[in-house]
Amino acid sequence: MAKKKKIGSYPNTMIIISLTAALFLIGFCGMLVVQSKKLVSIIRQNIEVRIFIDKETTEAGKDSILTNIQSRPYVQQIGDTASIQFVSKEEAAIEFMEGTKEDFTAFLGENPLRDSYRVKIQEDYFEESKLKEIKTDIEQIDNIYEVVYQENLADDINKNITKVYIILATFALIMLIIIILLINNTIKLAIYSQRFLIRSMQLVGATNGFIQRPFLVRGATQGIISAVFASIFLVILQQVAIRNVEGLAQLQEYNKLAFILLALLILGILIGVVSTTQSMIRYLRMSLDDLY
Amino acid sequence: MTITNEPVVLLERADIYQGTKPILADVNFHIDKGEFVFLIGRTGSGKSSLLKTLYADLWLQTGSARVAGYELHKIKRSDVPFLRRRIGIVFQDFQLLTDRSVEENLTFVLKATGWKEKADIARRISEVLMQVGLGTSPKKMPHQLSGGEQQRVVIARAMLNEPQILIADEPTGNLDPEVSEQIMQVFKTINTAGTAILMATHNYDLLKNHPARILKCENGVVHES
Repeated sequence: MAKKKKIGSYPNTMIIISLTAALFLIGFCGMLVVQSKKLVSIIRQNIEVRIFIDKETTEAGKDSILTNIQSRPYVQQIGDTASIQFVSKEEAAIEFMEGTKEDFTAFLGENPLRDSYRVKIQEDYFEESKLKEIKTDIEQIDNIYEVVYQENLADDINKNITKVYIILATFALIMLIIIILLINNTIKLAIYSQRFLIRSMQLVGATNGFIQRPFLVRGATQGIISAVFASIFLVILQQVAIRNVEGLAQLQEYNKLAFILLALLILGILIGVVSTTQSMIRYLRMSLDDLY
Repeated sequence: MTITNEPVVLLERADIYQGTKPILADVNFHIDKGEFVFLIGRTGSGKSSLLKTLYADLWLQTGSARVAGYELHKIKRSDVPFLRRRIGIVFQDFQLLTDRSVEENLTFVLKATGWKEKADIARRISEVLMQVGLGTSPKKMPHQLSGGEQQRVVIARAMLNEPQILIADEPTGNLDPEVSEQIMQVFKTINTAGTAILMATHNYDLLKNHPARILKCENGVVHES
């Protein structure tokens, strides 16, 4: 016996596949945003200002510089201690030689490097103009030879991150529009294929709400199923990426991932229900004769 | 529901349109409770458009009409389903759903119109099937029924919500004379029980054998014949 055609039923597969794809991409964009934010935050926390000290400065002078810097509001605090590291000129030389594989003291005959403090700056000061102010501020302290930081890094990162956000947001928006159009079309076809059932219901006096209900339930179900699939794929992708990309594990924030997955679920249901309602309203307003 | 003597159908100066095309002009007639009325006219004379206007499938644009207590010239879209519950429709292109049994066809209609209790649904189905003389066939599929039996089920379906009027468009169109006569008897029985009937037909034997009031669509107007 042929399968009974039920009101509100139509092939799921295409809608679920495309909705899953769209939700996956939107979720992926969301994950990229979260991870890039985390990455920027790590970069910001590690931004350093190097303070080179005059060669003739005494130990007392160095201590005075340290006390002076410690009191500055822009210095990052870890617990109660300011994040300031003293690097002697000998340590700097070793570091330099490790980097270049060349012993420059051998042909220069002396170590031309200076003692320095490496100061980590608070995240809020991660802006070119603020870093400049910090530089000027520190240079006024006695016995300071030079204050160095990686110029323009802050602005470059800020600018690039904004660009990435704009691109991702545009991408997600386009995907959303495409999927809404696609679902609309599929549902329109589905409704068309059930026009006899719907016509029967209208002729016997079923209300539009009653006719719509099974379609809406189905739309919501498809949204839920697609969101679950998209979430599974996202988690798999994330786990594979963590195992294969070094350092990526540090960027993971599981509470935010959970939030993204929950948002996908809500978005899936919303897309399913809203686009179904929209198609149904348009269709049910047509005269019964126009259905043929 | 209060019982009054007002007509089930009352049209005054109504113009019938199919889209923007005028079909019938200045239509005036009424059908009283329990009345049997034939509607005749050539193909394309506007019979179907008139019937569709009565159950608000076509919108009434000028004039006034009242059907089963609803004013068609000012009816809201949301009231149309409730108007249709008071009208039984037997239409050429409103066939049974072929993928389900007689009983399921009828259950579908009852559920669609707000019936919830299984016992009530079963009771009402057996009542209407008895009414059309099909008490023994509820489990059969439509294709297992003859043309005449299928038409009886269609009539039974129209009777489910105890309509004030049955609107039938060519209900005997595809049936042989003997079966047509049987179907006509079903309508007569329903009519005798108090339901008004408006039947569009081309079958002149029916008109001859069952004298009743006749409305005729001709040259863009409706007149008594």
